[in-house]
Amino acid sequence: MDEVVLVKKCLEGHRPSQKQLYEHFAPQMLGVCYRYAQSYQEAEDFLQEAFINVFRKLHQYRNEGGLGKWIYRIVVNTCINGIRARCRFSENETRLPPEALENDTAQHPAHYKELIEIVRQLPEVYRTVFNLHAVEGYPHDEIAQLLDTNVNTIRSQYSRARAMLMKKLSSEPQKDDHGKRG
Amino acid sequence: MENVDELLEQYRNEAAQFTLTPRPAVWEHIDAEINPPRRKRRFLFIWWLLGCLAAYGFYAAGTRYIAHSTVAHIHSKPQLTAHHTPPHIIAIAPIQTNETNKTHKKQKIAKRHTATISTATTSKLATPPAQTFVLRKQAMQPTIASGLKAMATNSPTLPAAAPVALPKVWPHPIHRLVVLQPVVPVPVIIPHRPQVVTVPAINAVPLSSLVTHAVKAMPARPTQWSLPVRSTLPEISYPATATLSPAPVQPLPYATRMTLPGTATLPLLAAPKQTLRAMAVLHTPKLLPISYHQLGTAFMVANIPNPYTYTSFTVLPAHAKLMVAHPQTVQTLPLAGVGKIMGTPVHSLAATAPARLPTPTTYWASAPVLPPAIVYGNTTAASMAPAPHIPLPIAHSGHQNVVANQHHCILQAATPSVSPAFGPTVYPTFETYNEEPDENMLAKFEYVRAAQQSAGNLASLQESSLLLLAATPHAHLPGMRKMPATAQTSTDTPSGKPTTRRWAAEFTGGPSFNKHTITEPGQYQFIRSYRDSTDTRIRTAQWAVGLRYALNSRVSLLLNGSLVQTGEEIRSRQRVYSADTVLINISSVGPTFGSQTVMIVGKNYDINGDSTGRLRNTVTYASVGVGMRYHLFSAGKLSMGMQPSVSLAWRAAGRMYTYDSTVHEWRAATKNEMAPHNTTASFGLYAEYRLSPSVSVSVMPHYTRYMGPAIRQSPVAIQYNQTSLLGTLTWWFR
Repeated sequence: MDEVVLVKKCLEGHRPSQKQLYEHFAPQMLGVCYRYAQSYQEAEDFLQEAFINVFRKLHQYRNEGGLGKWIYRIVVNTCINGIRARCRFSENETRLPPEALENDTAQHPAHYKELIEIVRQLPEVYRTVFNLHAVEGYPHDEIAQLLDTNVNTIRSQYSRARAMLMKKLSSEPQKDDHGKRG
Repeated sequence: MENVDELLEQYRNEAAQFTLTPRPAVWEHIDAEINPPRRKRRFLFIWWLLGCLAAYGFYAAGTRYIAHSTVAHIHSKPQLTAHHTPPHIIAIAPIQTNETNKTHKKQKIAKRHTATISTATTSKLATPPAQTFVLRKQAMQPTIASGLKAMATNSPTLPAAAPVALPKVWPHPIHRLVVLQPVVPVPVIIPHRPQVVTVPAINAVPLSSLVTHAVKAMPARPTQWSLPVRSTLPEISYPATATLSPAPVQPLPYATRMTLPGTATLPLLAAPKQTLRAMAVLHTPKLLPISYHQLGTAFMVANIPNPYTYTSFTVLPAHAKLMVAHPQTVQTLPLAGVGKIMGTPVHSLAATAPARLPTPTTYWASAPVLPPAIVYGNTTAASMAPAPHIPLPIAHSGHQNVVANQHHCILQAATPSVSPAFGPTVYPTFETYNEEPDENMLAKFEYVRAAQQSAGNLASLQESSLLLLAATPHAHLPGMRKMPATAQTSTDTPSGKPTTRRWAAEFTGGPSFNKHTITEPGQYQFIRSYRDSTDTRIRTAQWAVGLRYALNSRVSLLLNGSLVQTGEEIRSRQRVYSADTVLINISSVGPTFGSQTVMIVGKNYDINGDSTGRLRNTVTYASVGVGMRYHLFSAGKLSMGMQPSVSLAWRAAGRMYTYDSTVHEWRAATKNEMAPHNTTASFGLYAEYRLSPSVSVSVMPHYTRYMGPAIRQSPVAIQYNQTSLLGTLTWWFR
């Protein structure tokens, strides 16, 4: 079904269309939520909250830029709000052991699933900053605004997240069957 | 080991493909959240239904009022100055009378009968059937019986009583049929048919019941730029901005209602050669000024497809205004494009060339500046509001230089989302900037497009689309992805109430003008034609404090406690009559309503006493009421609507008198004779003006009907009703 028609029917309260919209985008968005959440259950909570927001704000959708992108943005914002509600981003949480900064290279993980698990092992603060900057492409100042902290803190957190990630990747056993490059 | 950037690139790329399947319970929770049960609506519907029933009840009851005042400074002894009327004797065969009420057997009674006998009917029937008539009053029995005896042989007989159903004239039943001609004493043949008229209740069909469809405003989405000023525009119904509602909201008194397409197939449009009684051409897109970018207000334009034949167009004595932001560019365009086109398909109307009719398929028009006039403020408030003019900055292709000043321009969309039809189109209102970067781009695109068109490229505008421009200060910095949360203006609701304040305390007071309605359970009747002209209606007061809760922008619920005084005043002279009510059923007599026979009800009264004096009956009720307030439309800070309510009332104080029919005296009623409680139903039409976000005042003509009588035992049952002019001070506190 065309996105415009689908959105129109959703706005009219057509439940099958609402479910169709949900089923179409939910798997991808749950993957997004999973990157930010501490657990799978929390990812589902984020997803649920995000889609409630989607349906409540659907009248604001202007059919520009694609429905998926619009939902994606809501999902990311919901995740950030959820994380922000759960914990505070502060300077104290950014402390890392000095050895985490030593190595900036890493092995390739076998698959994205393994890579994301490695990313998920990062502390939540680092993981969020890392995802926002490395995956979503947010600039540091905007992340600072989103997370209600200052830019230097974000820069520091990102550097340390990156260093910590490299360290974890270096310690992972190398796999040959998937994803290894050159 | 490779560079970490390459690894991150891989991570980023694969992240987009990564999916997980949520459990079904997630959707169930979402579904339960976005599609809540509809029980709340049922609650609202019950309130609405109660209001409608109350309004209808008032109307139906209002046609039966009998002005009346009771007697007073009681003459210790009523003067029995029986006013005799020449007796009429009716010759009818078997009569059965009631055996009740022996009190007045010995009274001298003269009767004036009302009966009707047609020639055809009376001559046909030879055998008097049994139980033809029923005399309700025992007091009539001797005279009638003697009259019957005297004429038992010669009198024509009336036909047997047939069950007669009162004809119903939609939507009101006939309350009473009245025979106007005097009754000719039998035995004679009545040479003419009686004239039968119906009571006014039949004629008084409310307009609202004739309107099968009504227009209801679409709920408008709150916008960040809606403005309260609408005074420059007439209050006109724009049905195209609305959806159909099965309930009449407000009738159009003079013109055929034009309604929306899309939601239903309207009978009006489905039939050929319908009448479009009044339309005015506002302008065509060509009339848009060149200084397009300087427009700070909205156009009201409708695209009306006209595949039908309109039989009549009438010239409207009004002008349609082209609304622009600057006074120097305001112009008033005379109406054009009207005329009578009998049977000719009208395809197009043009503002300057009515002779072009018929031309292609569409024309632009708006509703006239005439009745029918209904405002559905929510739908057009945003687009009709003249915004503070801020010239749009020079268009620039660069990303960061679109807006030169700190005030950002709000652009509204160009193309209506639905096919326009009667009435102006509701243009979808963009929140120009939000969290979406792409929408920022869209806004810039719209902006550039508007600027280009303002430079004179109006020809590129399609007729089906208009740019609607308004400029308003907006704290937005270009390049920001996240919009700061904008406070919703307090005028987003039709009533002008801030949406964040739902609770209000109210203090209400005002004068009431009392009337009363008399029913006759007893044997005595006050005949109003004998009333003295010095009768007056007393004025009392009522006070109330209450709580109000705004369910939404349209509906508020009320809970109040009040002190209400009512009563009746002064009677200088009044006679009391013994009543004899004759109920006669005659079949096939007189004019008929279809196959229905006519039912004739006569009611006659005989004097058995009178008295003079002056008296005031007053009673004070303490009542607790619930009601609702429904906003019909608003204009800026002013909103209007209706307020039905019901309440329980307890008698707090009062002094009343009752007529003792046995001794023909008035005496003070005892507490047991006065009803200890009562119920009331009320209906008001209010006009409310918002002084500030937290304070509003309203004025409301208000009608209250007491459903029960004030005195239990009386020859007549007196029910009060009041018309009040109430003023209310409302404080929105939460």
